[in-house]
Amino acid sequence: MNGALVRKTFRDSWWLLILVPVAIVVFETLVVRAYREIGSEAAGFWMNRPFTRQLMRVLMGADLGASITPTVLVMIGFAHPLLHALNWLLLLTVCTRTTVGEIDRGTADVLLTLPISRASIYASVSSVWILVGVPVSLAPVLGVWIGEWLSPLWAPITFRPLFVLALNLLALYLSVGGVAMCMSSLVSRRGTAVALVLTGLLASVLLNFLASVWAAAERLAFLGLLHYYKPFTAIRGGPLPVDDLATLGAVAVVAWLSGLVCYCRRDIPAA
Amino acid sequence: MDAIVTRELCKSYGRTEVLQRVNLRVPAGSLFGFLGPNGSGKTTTIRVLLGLLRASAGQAHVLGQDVWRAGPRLRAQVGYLPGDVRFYEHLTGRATLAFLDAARRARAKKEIGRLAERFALDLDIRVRNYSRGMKQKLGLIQALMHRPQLIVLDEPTTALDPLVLQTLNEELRAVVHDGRTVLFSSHTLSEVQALCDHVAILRAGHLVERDTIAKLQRQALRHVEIRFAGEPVPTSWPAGLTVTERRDTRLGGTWAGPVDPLLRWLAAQRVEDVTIGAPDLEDLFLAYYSTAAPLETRP
Repeated sequence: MNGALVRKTFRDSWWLLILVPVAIVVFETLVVRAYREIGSEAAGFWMNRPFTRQLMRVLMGADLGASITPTVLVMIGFAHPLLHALNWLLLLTVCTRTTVGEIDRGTADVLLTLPISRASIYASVSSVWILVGVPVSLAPVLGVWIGEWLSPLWAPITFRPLFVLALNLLALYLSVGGVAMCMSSLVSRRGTAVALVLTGLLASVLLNFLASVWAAAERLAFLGLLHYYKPFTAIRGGPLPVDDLATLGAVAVVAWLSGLVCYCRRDIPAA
Repeated sequence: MDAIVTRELCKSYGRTEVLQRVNLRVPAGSLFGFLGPNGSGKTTTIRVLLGLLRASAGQAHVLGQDVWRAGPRLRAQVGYLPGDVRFYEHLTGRATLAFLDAARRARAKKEIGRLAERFALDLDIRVRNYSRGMKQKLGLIQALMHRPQLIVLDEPTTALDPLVLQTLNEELRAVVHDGRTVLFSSHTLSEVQALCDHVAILRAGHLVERDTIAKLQRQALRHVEIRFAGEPVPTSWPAGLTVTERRDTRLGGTWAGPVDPLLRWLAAQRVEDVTIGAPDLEDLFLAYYSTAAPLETRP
């Protein structure tokens, strides 16, 4: 790895690297605060309405049933589209900025003729978003903790399953990052790389949604990354979702390594 | 020893062959002009030499090392100015050079200061506010600042004013004086002729000529104009003289090679006035550039 390049990657995206975890913390804090305003009876009433239950099933990938506890409620914040959108914004920005972004802008001619191997450039950029993945994944837990501290709910929140969920979120984050790095190594336009990754992610969201309402789509659900992110399973206090973590981890490693090989061997066209 | 050697170097994109069996040798310590019209393959050759592109066939060695395998160790000894140089727009010139210096681990702060002064470049302005010429100066400084063994400049004179051009020429001559090598790519003959000692000409992906400027000048044509003293123009003249104009007492044409035989012939004539021009490479280069001229790959 090259220290100067790591520092530059941090400096180029510092505002986003700080903004995203902070925004997630604030969002989760507000979610807890909102539940306090709603109260346990109202929450239970709404969660047992057929439409709301179906909506939750689509969002969570499982039926919440009648087991409405504060821990189950805060889990909704872990599956909220805003959380995913913030994660993807950070990943797409950082992962595509150097590998494909430099080619697109024409600055790769100077960068890639420095005495730094392409593998080192790839690793230096990756070290930043991988490192930031830890605070980003723990940010929802911190947000819930701050939220409960500021406005306690009708029952205490159990934090152990939230940490399991954070681990699942980290695995999802790494797999999306690995795919983004891979796509950035294959194309020469940043917009193309972003569009490809975003299309894949939106397809995964759609597949996840369809799988919860349509049996035929359920058979294909395994193709989407979001299929392996199951907040409800974690919250129910089940065993560690080893299969899901392993699948996301494997996708992350294979995609990242494929991107590394492509980046090291590819032609760098003039901008 | 040669600083750059390519053997049967080819580069193609699909069915389009951009470089075809290019055999190039750049002697170490030379100021080597790399000429060719736009689209002739100069930039592609340079990008292969710098490891940005992978050759489809053939070999390319820089400073004795394979360009694709040597990697960072080789690039530490090379300075490169791209044809269309771009930098990080949000950084100042100083921050840009500091980043490049840190990435190279070169500690060239003193040299950066010297070069910035020589090229009269304000380093405390953001690159986005630089003019085209200022960006070019920044590109030159980053290519020279770590005192590399080989400096590759792709169209370096773009947007430079005559004063900076003079400074650049002085810097490049100093580089060669140190025993280092410069590959100077251009499509303008006059700047290569004024600066370089060796030259190679590329046309449509083929190397069509490779020689010293001095040798090429010997092949170059001189424009000759003779006015005879009240006598009709002679009907015979030396073989080297190609007559293009013959009127009354005047004879005009071109002369190739050493002028000694021409002067001996003139001495035997009654000549009122004579003009023998300097060797003009322009005609020679236009002939190489011409698409009508046959392509011939040099061994």
